[in-house]
Amino acid sequence: MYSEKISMLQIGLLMASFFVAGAGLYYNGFLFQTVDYNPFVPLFSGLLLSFIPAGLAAWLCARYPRKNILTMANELVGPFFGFLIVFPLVVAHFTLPLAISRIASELIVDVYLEQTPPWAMTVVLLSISCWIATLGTEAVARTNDEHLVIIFPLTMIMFLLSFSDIRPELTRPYLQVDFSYWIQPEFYGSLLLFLSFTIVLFLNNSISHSTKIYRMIFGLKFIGAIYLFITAYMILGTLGMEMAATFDQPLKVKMTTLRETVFIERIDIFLVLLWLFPTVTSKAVLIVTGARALGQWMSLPDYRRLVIIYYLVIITLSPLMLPFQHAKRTLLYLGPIWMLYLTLILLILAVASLWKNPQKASPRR
Amino acid sequence: MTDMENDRKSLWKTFLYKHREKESTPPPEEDDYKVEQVLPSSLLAAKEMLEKSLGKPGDLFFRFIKPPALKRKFMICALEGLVDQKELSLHVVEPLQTTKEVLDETEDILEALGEKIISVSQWEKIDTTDEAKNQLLDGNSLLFADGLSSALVIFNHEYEHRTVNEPITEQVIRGPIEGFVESLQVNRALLRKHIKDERLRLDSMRLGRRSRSNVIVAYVDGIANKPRVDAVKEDIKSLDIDIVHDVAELSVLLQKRSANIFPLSMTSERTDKVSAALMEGRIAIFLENSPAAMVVPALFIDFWRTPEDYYSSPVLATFFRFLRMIFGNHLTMMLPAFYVAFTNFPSGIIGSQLIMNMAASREGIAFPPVLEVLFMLILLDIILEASQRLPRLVGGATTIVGGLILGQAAVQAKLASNIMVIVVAVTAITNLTVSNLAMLPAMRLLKYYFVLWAAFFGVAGIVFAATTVLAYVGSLKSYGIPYLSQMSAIHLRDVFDTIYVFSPKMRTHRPRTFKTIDGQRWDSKKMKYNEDSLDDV
Repeated sequence: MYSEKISMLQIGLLMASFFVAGAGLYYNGFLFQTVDYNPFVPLFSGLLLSFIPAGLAAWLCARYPRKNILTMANELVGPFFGFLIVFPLVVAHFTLPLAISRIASELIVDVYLEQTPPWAMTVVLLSISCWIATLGTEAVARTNDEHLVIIFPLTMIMFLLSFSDIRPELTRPYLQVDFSYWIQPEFYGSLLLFLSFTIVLFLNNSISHSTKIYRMIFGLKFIGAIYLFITAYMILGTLGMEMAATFDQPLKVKMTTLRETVFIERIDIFLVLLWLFPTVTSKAVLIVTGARALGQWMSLPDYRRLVIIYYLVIITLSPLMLPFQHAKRTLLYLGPIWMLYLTLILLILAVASLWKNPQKASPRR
Repeated sequence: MTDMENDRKSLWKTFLYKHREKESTPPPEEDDYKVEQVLPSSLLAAKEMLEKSLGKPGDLFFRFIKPPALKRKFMICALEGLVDQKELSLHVVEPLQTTKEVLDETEDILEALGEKIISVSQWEKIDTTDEAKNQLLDGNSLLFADGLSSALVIFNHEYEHRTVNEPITEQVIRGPIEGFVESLQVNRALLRKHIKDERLRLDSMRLGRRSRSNVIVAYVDGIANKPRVDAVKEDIKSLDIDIVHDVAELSVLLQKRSANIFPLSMTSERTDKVSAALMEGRIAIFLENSPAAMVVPALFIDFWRTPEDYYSSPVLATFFRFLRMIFGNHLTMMLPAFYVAFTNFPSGIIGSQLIMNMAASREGIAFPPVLEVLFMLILLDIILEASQRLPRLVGGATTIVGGLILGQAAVQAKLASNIMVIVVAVTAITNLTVSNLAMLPAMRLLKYYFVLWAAFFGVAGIVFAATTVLAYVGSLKSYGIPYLSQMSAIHLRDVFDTIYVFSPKMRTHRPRTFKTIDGQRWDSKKMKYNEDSLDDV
């Protein structure tokens, strides 16, 4: 419906920004609270678990090129049921930016602006994300490209600088034969990070080469997992498991407890700044995909006005997340519910697709 | 759009522009109903008509000739200073006066004159008064024959113009040093000298209701995207304006977002830069009396590229482009903001020694850091503005007075700290690392934007500012091409020539961004290296 075009690589970079932002903001907090020794097994368990909905999404996107989940659901289960099953996903897209903004504002206020109220920072973060979303999907994708193309190498440099503080003995044993994390809610909360591929479902109508989208989805998952592994290793190596598990944002603590140098007191503190970029763009993409979906249902020629309405509503609702624990709990519950629900509806759509056995569209180059 | 919305818009327009409607003159005659007047057959009537139309100007001259071999009288008419009078005397007046050939009066005498008697390289027969006036104003001569309601245009215009020399605003150490001049003919020749391809198209148009300036839209057929070429031509055609003085003005007029501060077209005086742009599938627009070409579509990265990047090793080019783009660009915009952030919010990012130094240098200064920075930046920009427009002899003195004396005096008077003076000096230097000066004003303005964000939110504010600027730049398009193309990952191949300049072997294709027809620019496989001789080199 909307003529915006983004490339498959841009989608990949958008997914990458979810990994970068999530690792800094909440993922490691959840992960370290799921186990007693080291979190590498739950990390890769989460990755494997997420392959189920990711595989279904990739299969559907390839089967229906240039159609997003709204059109797919509309064709496969009818307009009414199509709306009913996809609408909760749109709600999730609209809810997540508020919780993420609150968590990010906590980080900024703790590290930089001790006297600024977190609510004010939440409003600023939401305002910037919404403004970027009003510029459209293409602008969001291009902003994100720049962030990752230029800033990702800097992040790697920061990581390398941090390695001098790591004590490898703190990270051992790598393999922990204890599967008690399967009953921990934090483990399921951490799954939220692996759901970045849902944006593909919403933007499939704007992507070229979408028949090969599975390469991007799975490729990004592997790269994302490696990134998460590195951050987890850095935290463990610096703080140790016992201390790391006591913090909601252990990566932040790792940064603020580094040794002093001569010129830059805490060079890694710049990492927080670098996380802000993907945090803002990942929120913008969630907002823009939600608004596009609503706009498509309402047959609006320009969905951007919905972003302004969303902004007004979300700013009004932002005091709901004033206590940090509310934002954390939102993510804790949103992760498993979203993943379960997404898997379920993707299964329904896949079965309906096979049932109806539609003519498979010819692959496009 | 609904009818109600249309009504509301028209009401609003009526409210806003009511006074203009009263002021505006009635529209000129519609072309469809305009009757073209035929030239008068009498020489005196033609003279009177031209004098009346042009308001009896002092530079309009007439020369009557009565060739001994012909029965008719002839009249030459031109505007002094616009025509080559030597050529007129030698190739028109003299042959007419000395001819002994008796032409058949029954044939078209003007065409016969053009073919047999006068020896100019280009002529054309015209019949209407409008054509006659336009040709006269274009600097051509008219030859009237008594009793005929037509005239011969002799294309012998010769405007005064500069000679081709080095572009002042885009100087390079290596590469050609010839630049475009104000003459369209010279510019056209310079371009043809660079691209001797039969598919180089130089489509002529007119621009300006009153100036009627010549415009050339240059592109390479078979490379440039045809719909984009048509869109450019359409935009120029639809520009109904009195006069456009320069391509930079044309660039502003063609912008769709009036509040945009980033240049969406690239103006260049360099011949090599423009010909390279044409080879990438872009379009160059030349305007009469303008010493530069306007190249569209323009990308953000273009303003940090220099021709020298391609005349040196890719490793060196990457290093220097990185210096310009990452350090030059970012320091210009962000260094004053970082000063504000570190002094306002010393949150432990920088070492305690540096914080103490900064605090010591600010001791006794009455202003808060933000005002101190704003004061010094405004002073810097005033000095830059003044030095740009002052005569060169005085300009140097202004810089010395502004830079050294005022800076030193400001520190001694406790108006600014020593570190602040260093920050301003570095900002002033990094300002100039941009390779195309069209981007400079935007960079200068943005540093204030960053300072304001830093004043409120410290280092995090700088990140917010950077994000919003990047998003805004990301939303811009130049003739349908995203402004951040090549830098963003739409086409991976195009990223090989952005901040990172890769080997020419990786740039064998034209940028995919421009959707060119012929995509390949170099068949590197055909290249046969003589390995032995290369070893010696």
